[in-house]
Amino acid sequence: MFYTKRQEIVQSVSHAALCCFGMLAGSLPLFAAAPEEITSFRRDVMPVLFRAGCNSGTCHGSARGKDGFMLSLFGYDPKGDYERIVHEMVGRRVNAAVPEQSLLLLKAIGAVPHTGGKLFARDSDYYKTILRWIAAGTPDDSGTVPETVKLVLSEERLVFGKAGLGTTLKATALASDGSTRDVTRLARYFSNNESVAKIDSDGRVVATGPGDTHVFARFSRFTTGVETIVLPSEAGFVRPNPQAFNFIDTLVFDKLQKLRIAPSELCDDATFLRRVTLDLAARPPTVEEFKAFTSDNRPDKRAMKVDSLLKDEAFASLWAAIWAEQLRVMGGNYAPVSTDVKAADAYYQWIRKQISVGRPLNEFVSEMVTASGSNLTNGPVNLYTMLVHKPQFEPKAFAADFSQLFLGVQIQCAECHNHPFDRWTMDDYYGFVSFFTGMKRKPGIEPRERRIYCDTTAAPARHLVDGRPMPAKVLGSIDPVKAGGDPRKDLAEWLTSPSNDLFSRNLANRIWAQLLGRGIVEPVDDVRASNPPVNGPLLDALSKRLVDSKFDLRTLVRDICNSRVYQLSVRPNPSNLRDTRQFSHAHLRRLRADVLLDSVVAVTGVPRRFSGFQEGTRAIEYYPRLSGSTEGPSHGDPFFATFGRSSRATVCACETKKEPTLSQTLHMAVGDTVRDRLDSGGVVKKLLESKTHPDQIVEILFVRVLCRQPTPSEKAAMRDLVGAAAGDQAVYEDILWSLLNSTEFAFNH
Amino acid sequence: MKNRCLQMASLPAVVFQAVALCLSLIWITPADAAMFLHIEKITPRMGQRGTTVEVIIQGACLNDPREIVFYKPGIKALRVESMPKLAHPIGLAHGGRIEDQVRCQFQIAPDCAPGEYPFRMRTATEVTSIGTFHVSPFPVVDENEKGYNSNDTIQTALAVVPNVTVRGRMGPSGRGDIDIYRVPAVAGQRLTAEVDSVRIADVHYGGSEYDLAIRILDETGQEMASNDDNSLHLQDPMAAVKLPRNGFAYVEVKRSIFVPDDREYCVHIGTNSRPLAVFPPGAQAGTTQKFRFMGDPLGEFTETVKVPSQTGTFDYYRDAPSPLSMRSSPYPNILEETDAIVTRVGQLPAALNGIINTREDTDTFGLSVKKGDRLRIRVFAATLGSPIDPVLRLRPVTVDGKPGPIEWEVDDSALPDRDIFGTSFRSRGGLKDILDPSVVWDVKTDGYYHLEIQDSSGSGGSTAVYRIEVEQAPDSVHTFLASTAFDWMECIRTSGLAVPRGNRWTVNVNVQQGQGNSYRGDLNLVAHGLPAGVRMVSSRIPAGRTFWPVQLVADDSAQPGSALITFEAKPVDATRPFESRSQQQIPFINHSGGDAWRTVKLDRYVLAITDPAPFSIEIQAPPVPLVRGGELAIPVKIKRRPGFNEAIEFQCDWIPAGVGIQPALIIPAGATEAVLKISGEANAPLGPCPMVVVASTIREGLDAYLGTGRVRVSSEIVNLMITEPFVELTSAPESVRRGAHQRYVWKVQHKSPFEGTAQVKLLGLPKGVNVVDPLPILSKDSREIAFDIEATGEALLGSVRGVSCEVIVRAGGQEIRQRTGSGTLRIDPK
Repeated sequence: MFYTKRQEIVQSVSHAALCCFGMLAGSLPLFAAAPEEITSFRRDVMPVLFRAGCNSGTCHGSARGKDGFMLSLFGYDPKGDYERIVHEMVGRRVNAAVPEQSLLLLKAIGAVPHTGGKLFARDSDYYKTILRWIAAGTPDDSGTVPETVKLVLSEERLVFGKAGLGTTLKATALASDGSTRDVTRLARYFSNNESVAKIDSDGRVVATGPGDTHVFARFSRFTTGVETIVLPSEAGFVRPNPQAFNFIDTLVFDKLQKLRIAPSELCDDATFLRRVTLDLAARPPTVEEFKAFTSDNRPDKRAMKVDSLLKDEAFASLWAAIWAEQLRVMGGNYAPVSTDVKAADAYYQWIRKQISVGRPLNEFVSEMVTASGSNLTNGPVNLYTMLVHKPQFEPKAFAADFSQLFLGVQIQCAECHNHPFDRWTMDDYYGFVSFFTGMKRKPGIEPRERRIYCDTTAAPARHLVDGRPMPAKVLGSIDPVKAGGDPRKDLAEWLTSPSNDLFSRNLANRIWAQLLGRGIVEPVDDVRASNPPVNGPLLDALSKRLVDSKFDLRTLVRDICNSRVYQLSVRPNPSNLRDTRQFSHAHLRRLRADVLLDSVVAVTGVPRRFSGFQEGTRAIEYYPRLSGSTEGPSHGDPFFATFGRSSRATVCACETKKEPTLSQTLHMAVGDTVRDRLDSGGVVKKLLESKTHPDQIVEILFVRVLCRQPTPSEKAAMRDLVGAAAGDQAVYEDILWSLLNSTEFAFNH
Repeated sequence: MKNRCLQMASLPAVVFQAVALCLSLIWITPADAAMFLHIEKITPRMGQRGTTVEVIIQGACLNDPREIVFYKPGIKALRVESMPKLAHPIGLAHGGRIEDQVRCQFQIAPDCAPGEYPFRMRTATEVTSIGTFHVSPFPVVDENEKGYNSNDTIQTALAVVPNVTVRGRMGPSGRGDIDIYRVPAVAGQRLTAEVDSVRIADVHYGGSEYDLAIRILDETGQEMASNDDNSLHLQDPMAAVKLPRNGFAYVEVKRSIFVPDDREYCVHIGTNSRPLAVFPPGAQAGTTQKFRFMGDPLGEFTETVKVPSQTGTFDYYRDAPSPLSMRSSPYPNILEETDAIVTRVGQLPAALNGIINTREDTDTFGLSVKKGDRLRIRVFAATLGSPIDPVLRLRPVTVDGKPGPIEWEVDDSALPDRDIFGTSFRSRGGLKDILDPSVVWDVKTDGYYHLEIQDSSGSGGSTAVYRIEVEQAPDSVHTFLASTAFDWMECIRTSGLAVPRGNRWTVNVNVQQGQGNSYRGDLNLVAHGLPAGVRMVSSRIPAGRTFWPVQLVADDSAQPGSALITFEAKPVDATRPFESRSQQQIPFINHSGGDAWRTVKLDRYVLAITDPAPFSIEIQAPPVPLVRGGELAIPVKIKRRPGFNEAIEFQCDWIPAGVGIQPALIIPAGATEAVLKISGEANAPLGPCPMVVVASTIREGLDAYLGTGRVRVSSEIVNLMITEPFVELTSAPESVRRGAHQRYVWKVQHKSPFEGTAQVKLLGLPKGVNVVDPLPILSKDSREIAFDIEATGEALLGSVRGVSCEVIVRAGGQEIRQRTGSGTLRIDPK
C-alpha cells in the first residue's frame, strides 16, 4: 500500500496531467497507428528499434555499428537508418517477398545467431509492427510524421512508505500536431539508484530501500524523471522542529521532513568561525579572531562575521581563483596559443576586480561573452584564448566548454547524435556552435598580442548528418537569432537573462557546492534531465534569490552562510547518519589545495614563493605561468598537483580534486611544505622568546592551527610531552608538526 | 666556459650599472663567437633638451671612434673619445658582449623636439650598428634608489617637482620593485605621468621586464588614475588626472608582470596637457586650422595648428613629452556629418575624418566614382594611436538608394601595403599601421558607393578618431636595406655603408613596389646626399628585380666623414609622377624567431668614408658566358698594401636566383690570388647580369656573418653573361650485359655555338660499368655521340637512372664545364 500522503500527491499530480492530456486528446487526433493504417517507419518501427535496444550505444547505435550493421544512436537519423535497413543490403535485412525471412526480424527474435541475443518474441507487438511494415513494402514516411515534442509520466513524485511497495508509471508522448500517444510499452526505463527504487521495462516501480532517487522514462529524444522517495521506518523518529534562519533552511528541512531525517545540531562558535573563515577568506582564523569571536556575546555575531569576511579582499581572491580555474587561466610564452602571461594576467586581474567590486555575475559573464579586441588590454576577451588552449580557435570545442561552464550542460554528445540522456538535439548543438564560428584570432602589434574579433561574414556550422547550414540559435530555441552582425550579443542576452534559469541555476548550484561541498545537482557541470536536483525547490529558490539580487555573489553567499543548514554540525544523528546528499549535517571537506597551502603559511608565518610570482603572493592568487605552451594540463606548482588543484586541462569541475591521498599525507609529514616552515622556527621561537607559559604556548598552537582550545586530555598529553623540556623549541615544533598533520587541520568541518 | 671574477670596485659607475644590468647573463671569453652588434648599451638613455649630457656608449669593436652621426637634427655629439676596455667583457643574451667603451658629450639643442634620436658611430674602419638616445622637454633627474625596495611606499616616496623626467630603474627584487614619486598637488591642476620603457629599450632580445604600469594615487593611497597599456604608446603606460585637492599626489611605477630583472625606464611627471586624440586627425598640407584635442583630464580644448607643407605623418607635441601623430595630406578634409546616416563626399581625392563613438557605431561615406578610377583607400586610425581596430567595407548603392551587398571588406594590412618594407619579422614589431586597412580599388563601373568603417575590437568611444585618405593610387617604389641575419639582428656586412677612402663597397639595395604601383618597367637608382669624392655605381635595374647591387666608390680625394644619403628609384623612361622613399627598419626587444616589440624606423642611410683599407680586390669580367647547367671559374686578385699580409675572406653577396656560388672563401695570409666558382642552374636568368665580389679582413671570435669589426671592400661590378647551354644531350634507355660491351648513344641538340671541339664524359655509371677509351668528341656538326661501355662480371645488376654527360669546352683560356642529360642504363645478367 502506498503511503497515504503520497496518494494525495500522486492523485493531484496525475489529475492535472490527465486533464491536460484529456483536453488535447479531445481536440486532436491520436498519432498512434490504427490497425488499418499503413505502418509507419518513423512512428512505429523506430520506437521498436529504440525499445529493443537495437540502436543503443552498445549495439548497432555505436559509432561503427555492430557486426556490420549500423543504426543512428537512439535514432537521431531516421533517414539514414531507413537507408541502412532497406537499401544497404538489399533483400537481406528486409525481405519484401518473404517478410518473415528478413534478418531484421530473425535476428531480433533469436531465430538466427545474434550477438545481442533475443530481443522480443515472435508473437510480440514489436515483431508484428516490423513485420507489417516490411509486408507493406517498407514505406518511407519522411516528412509526414509529427515529431514527438514532450514525454510525460503519469506521476510527478512517488513516495513509498516502505521497501517492497510499488506502482506502475504510464508514459505519454505529445506530438508536434498536438496529439498524444501512450508509449509506456515503447519507452525505456531506468533508475538513478536501484538501492532505493527499481523500475522495470513495463514502467513498474518498486521501492527497494529508504532514501530518495529518480526513476526515468526515455522515448524519442526525451527523458522524463519522477522523484521517488522511500521512507525509512517511523520507529524512533522524532520529528524535529529546528529554527529556520532563512528560506534555505525552510526548503532543506521540508525535504528532510519528507525523508524522515532530522538535521544535526548547530556547530559551536569555534567551528563556525573556522568554517566560515576558511570558506570566505581562504585561511584559518587568527588567534586574535578566535578570542574576539568566542568572547563575543552578541546574538548576531555569526552574521556579522559573515559580513566582515565578505568584505575581505581574500574573498575576491578566492572566488577569482575558482573562476580562474574554471576559465582555465594559464599563461605561457608560446605565442601561437595566444595565452601569453600578460594576457593571462590581464584576464585574471579583470576577473578579480569584477569579484572585488561586486560586479553582477550576469554582467560579468556577458562582458566576457561579447568581448572583442586585444588579449593584452581587454582581459575578458581571453575567454576566447583560454577556454580552449589551442593555436587555432575551435568553435565546437569552445561551444562545448562554454555550455558546460555557464549552463552546466554538456552538449558535446549532440555533435554526433542527439543527446542520449537530455533533450539536446544535433540541431541545438550546431545552432549553438554557430555563435562561435565567426570568432577569429589575428596577430596583434607585438608578439604577445592576439586580437579577437567576430567575423560576421563567416558561415555557420553545418549539420553533421545532412550538411545543412545551422544559423546561430540558443539552446532549446526553434528559431535562430537575427541574421547579420555579431550573434554573441544575442547569445549574451539570452544566456544572462533573469529568465534563463539554466544560467542562474547553474551559478547558484556552483556557489552552493562551493560552500556545502556538494551541489544540489551533482556533478555541478552535468545538468541533464537524468541528473535532476536532489532538492528542486531549494535550487529554484537559490536561483531566484540570485536573480532577485541582481546576480550578486555576496548576497547568495551571505544567505547560505547565514542559514542554519550551513551552520549545522558535522556530527550526525541516527536519522541522518547515512544522508550524503540532503544537507542534513555538515560534511568533512578537505581544504582546496590553495587554501590548504595558504593555511600552512598563515599558521607557520613563513611565506611560500611561487615561480613567476613575486614574494607575498598567496596560493589563491596563483595561476600557472609557464615557460612554453599552455596546451597541456598544468598545476604550475608541485604542491597543487599533489593536493588536486585543477590542472586546467578541461573546464570540468572534476579537475579540482578534494580526495585525500597517501601522497598528500606523506607530503605533509615529510615534504618541504611543513618541514621547511618548521625549520625556520618563526612562530615557536617568538612564543618562547615572549616567555609565554608552556600551557599557553600549547593553547596558542591549538588555536592557531585548529581554531580551538585543546581538550583536557590533549592538554594533559601535551603537558607530559613538554615535561621538563619547556624551553626546548623542538618540542613545540613537534606539537606544531602534529597539529599540521592532523586531519582536523586539513579538513573543513 | 671560463668564469672570471668581477672586479666591480675598480669599475667606473657606468660600468657598474652595466654589470648590474647583466648579472643574470653569462660571462664569455673572446673565443665564444656569437651574434655581435657594435653598440649594446648607451647610458644614460635620455637627456633634457638645451643641455649637454655625457653619454657612454658600450659594446664591441668601438675602438678608434671618430664621429656620432644622428639621423635627425637636434643633437650634436662632441668629444667622442675611447675609454679603456672593460677588464672583463660582459656577455649578453644574443651572444654579443660589452668590452669597448666610448665617451662623448651630446649637445642637445634648446629647440630639439622630444623623442627618439637614432644614430650610428663612425669608427676608423666601420659604421656601427644602430644606437638610440632620447630627449625630454623636462629636467632629467636620476631615481638613485638604494637597493630595490626603498621607495615602494607613499611614506618612502621620492620627492620630485613637476615638470621633471626621472630616470628610474626597475630592480630585480623578489618582492617586485615599485617606485613611488611624491609630487606637490594643487587642486584643479593637471598631473600627467608618462613612462618610457619599451620605447627607450635598446636591447635585441628582451621581454616583459620592459612592460610597466603606472598609477596616480592620492595621499591616502587611493588610486586616481591608472594605466598599463594604451593605444598611443602600446606597452608604455600614461595617466593623467585633475588633482582634487592641495597636498601631495603620488606616481607609482611598477611592472605589469613580475619579472625579477633590472631595467632602466624614464617617467615624465608634469603638469602638461595630455590629450589622447585630436580631431580631425589631419588636414591639408600647409594650411592652418583649428583642431579639437580630446581626452585631457581638464577637458576638451581647441587649438590652431599649422599643418606642415610636407605631406605624411607628423608629430604634434604641444607641451607634452610625447606627441600626437597627425596627417598632412595634399587634399582637403571631409568631416563625418554626425547627424546624417551617410556623409556625402563631394570630390575626390579627399581625407574623410570621423569618430567611432560607440562599440556598434558604423560611419558611412557616400562616394561617386567612375569606371577606370584606381583609388588607394588608406585608413589612419591605430597608426595614429586611435584605440580602434578598423574594418573598411564597400557597398554599391542601388538605383533606389539602398546599399547593396558588400563588394569588398578589408581589415588588417600587410606592412608592405602600408609602404613599410624590410620588416618580415614574425610579428609586427610594434608597428600599429597593420591594424589599419589599406586597399587599392579598381573601379569597374560608374556609380555611387557607400564606404563604411567599423571597429572590430569594440573600442569605440570619444577618442576613437580615424581618417580615410582616398586618392588616385600613386606609382611608387621603395628602396630599403634589409637585414638577413638571424632574428633580423642588424647585419652590418650586408647593410652597412662604410667605404674606405680610395676603395669601394657594394650593398644589395632592396626594391619593392608600393601599394597600387602600376609601373612595371626598368628602374634607375639615384643617390642623394653623397659627400664629395663619393659616387654611386649601379646599372639599370631590370623590371621585376627585388634587389640589386649598388656600389659606392670613394676617391682618394674623399675626406673621412659621413653623410645621410637616400636611394631614389626612378622609371627609366617615364616622366609620370613617381614616388620613391628610402627606409630601413631595426627591430628591438626581440624574441626567438623575430618577434619584435618595437621597430626603429629610418628614412635615410648613414654613409661613412673610413680610413683606407689595407687591400683591394679585383675580378675581371669573365670572357666567356656562364651557361645554364655549367660552371665557371673566376680569378680573384688581391692587392695588398705593403706590410699587410693577413688572410682575407671573400664571397659573392649578390647573386640572382639560379646562379650558385661558393660559401665564403679565405685567401691565406700573404696570398694574392684565388678562384671563385659559380654555377648556372637551369633557371639562371639569361643575359647580362652584374657580378661583384666583396672581401674583408678576418677577426677571430666575432660573428663572420654579421661582419662586425672587419674592414670590408668590394671589387668593381663586372658583367657576367648567362646563356643557354652549349648542347643538350638525350639518350634512350640502354642496357648492357655483364661481361659485354655496348654502344651508348646520346643525341645532340645544339643550343649555343662554340668553337672547336668539346670533350664529353659520362657521369653516374654504376659500379662495374666503365667507359672504354676513346671518349667521344663533340663538334658543332655533331648530331649524336656514342660511348663504348663495358660491364664487368661484378657490375651491379638492375636499372640506374640519372646517368648524365659532362661537356668540357675550352674557351677564353679556361675550361667551361656543362652538365646535361639524364639517361637510364640497365645492367643485365650474363
